Amino acid sequence: MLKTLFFVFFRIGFFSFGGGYAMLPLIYKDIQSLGLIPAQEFSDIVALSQMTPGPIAINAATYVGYKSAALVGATFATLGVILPSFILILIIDSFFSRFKNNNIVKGIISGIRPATVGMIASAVIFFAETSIFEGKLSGFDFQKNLELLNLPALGIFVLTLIGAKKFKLGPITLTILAGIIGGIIL
Amino acid sequence: MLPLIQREVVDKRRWVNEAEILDIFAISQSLPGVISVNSAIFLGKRVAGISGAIASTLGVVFPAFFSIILVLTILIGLRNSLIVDKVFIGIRAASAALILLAALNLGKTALKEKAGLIIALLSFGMIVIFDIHAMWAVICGGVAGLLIYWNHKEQS
Repeated sequence: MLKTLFFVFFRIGFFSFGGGYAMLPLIYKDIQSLGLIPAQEFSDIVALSQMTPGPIAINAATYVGYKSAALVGATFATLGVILPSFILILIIDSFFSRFKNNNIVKGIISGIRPATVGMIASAVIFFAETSIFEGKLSGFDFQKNLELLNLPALGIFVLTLIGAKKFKLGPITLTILAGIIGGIIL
Repeated sequence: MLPLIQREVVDKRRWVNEAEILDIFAISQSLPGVISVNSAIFLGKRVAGISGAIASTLGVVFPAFFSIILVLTILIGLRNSLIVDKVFIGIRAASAALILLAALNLGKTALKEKAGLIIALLSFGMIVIFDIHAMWAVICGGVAGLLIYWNHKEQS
């Protein structure tokens, strides 16, 4: 169990470019196939991560590890997710200036960056499937997807967009407001 | 978080200068992992070698580590109440919106060219429609970036 946790989060750490949100689909897939925790619970922890200190990736690793094997699990998963960065940086720091101006590295990064935009967008779907829709969306079956729609939750989704864009409210305020509204109207 | 780091290590402690910290941030962004953690590892290494890197990493990780365990222990007690379920549906709906905005913001800077847009769409489709592990999106994106770079080089 500990070995699996460590390996899974090591892989997540290694492939997570572009910050916390981009690693969500990576974590999602692994916890689903391993059955570590239910998808919905994972979404909750990501939501809470926006209000607790520290990066989402660390929070997620700690949470999944803790749920799977208590404090030891939390430690292994967290170490796993950090270690790839740690090793890479110790290596890179020795030839920092060469790495910084390397065109091949720049080329690879310029391809990974748009891929991470797609990954973050896919995380929106995962979240929608546990809130705005009551279940997993099925490819192109619009009729069925429409039946799964939870209208009040969609309202909260739209209000959050408006709150962020028009009223420039921060993520913490918006998350708390959404929780309160959810408790009242859903 | 980055402005916070900058103020502490450049202005207050003078461990590195302004130009160095911007370099460190830029490179931390292009490496896998969390930007703030990556920056901490870099800074620790610069200031006090490998042990410095270990110390700064532990420092930046601990608050996240313990706060989530604290939240978890509280949450377990509340878990099975109907009202908490509803609160969380609301919170998840808000998160979907916040993440959508994050994707749009990043998209504005990362998808200036047509190739970028195609890579983003393919990566989205791979994960959502074909249920492929997201690490393949990263690998394919990297390979595509490399091919585009070589192609440009040949033309010029």
